[in-house]
Amino acid sequence: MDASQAEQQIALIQAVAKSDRLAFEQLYRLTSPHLFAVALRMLRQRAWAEEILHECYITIWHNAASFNSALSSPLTWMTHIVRNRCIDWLRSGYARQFNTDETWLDEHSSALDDTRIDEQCDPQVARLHQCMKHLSSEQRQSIALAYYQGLSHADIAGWLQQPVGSVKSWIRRGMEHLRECVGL
Amino acid sequence: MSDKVQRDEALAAEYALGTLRGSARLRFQRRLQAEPALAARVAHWQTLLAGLDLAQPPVTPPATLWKKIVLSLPPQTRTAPKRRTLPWLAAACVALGLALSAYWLREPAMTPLAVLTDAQHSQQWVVSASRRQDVISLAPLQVSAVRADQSLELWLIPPGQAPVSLGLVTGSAPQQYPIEKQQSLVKATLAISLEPHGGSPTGRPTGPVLYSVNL
Repeated sequence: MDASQAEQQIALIQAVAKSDRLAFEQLYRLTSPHLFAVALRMLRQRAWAEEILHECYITIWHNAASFNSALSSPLTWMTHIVRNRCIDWLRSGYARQFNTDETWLDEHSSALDDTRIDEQCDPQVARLHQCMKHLSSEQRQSIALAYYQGLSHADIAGWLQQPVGSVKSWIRRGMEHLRECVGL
Repeated sequence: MSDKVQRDEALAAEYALGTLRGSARLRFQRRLQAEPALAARVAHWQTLLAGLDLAQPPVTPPATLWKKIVLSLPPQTRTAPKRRTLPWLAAACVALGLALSAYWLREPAMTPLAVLTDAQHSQQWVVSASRRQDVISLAPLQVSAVRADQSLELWLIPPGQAPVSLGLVTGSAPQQYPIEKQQSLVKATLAISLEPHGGSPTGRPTGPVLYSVNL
């Protein structure tokens, strides 16, 4: 996302904070395809993803005034709302009955190796994907499963058939490496 | 980096990644409200990880979703149905009188101080304070419940200062809130805002103020 898009979205959120419905609709049109993809990826069920997105846009409507553009971009803020809600949902017993679909996971974990990223205009994004490539495959896989699928340490350990302690340390070291490598 | 800074950095990373779960996640969310530096670390991590989302193609949600969202927004113009306001108001006044006298008789230690009302004066909370004003209590009066994914949060706003959270409010029974020594109720405002479940994530009111009263 370039700076002018971010500025446009900041202006829209500020208008939404003043209960501007047209701005809210515009914000929805601009951001919902991205947020729907995030929710679908984590929940893997269209009906659930639609329900979560519905709730999250109502949250965005009510909390627009609390958005702080000094901390993050509108899309990052909204993505956090969606991810948080998905994590709560995944923790509930109902979602747990439907276990991880393996082919789906394989397909999405490999999205990380996607070369399209190298063509992304944002240098920091390109840098992040470069840095991901430096990680060991266990570190990269654990971080991808946690971020893309919202899996817990225990879920990842089960999926990789490795001890939870190993998963925790892969994630910790992997994240430390990303921080240093991206220069956070 | 000191041990604590290092530990906090790791927690911020785990929180942004989503692997911080359960009570640890809730504790961390509470800390984020009070510690802006920590919130800034989390925002950095979220911004970094957001780059991972760009590997995914966007998916446009079905057109029906927007219609559902519009239907769940609060009504656009406040249409006050005149004929129905008066009986409600009368009933509220009677109930208020009863509640105030009940409180006066039942709890001599707590004295009614004020009534928190919403904009329509149809829903109220009775605020009572202990003699030393170091505890206040809140009793609901004709208060409608909030959705399961939302919470009500009580704020004390000393004159000219930022709101201080006194805690969450549940509509079912009277609740008590201690007032710290350095805070004073004199000329302060009490307000209840609508927040995400578990309270404001930022430590300041984020949702609409549903009830307020100047003391």
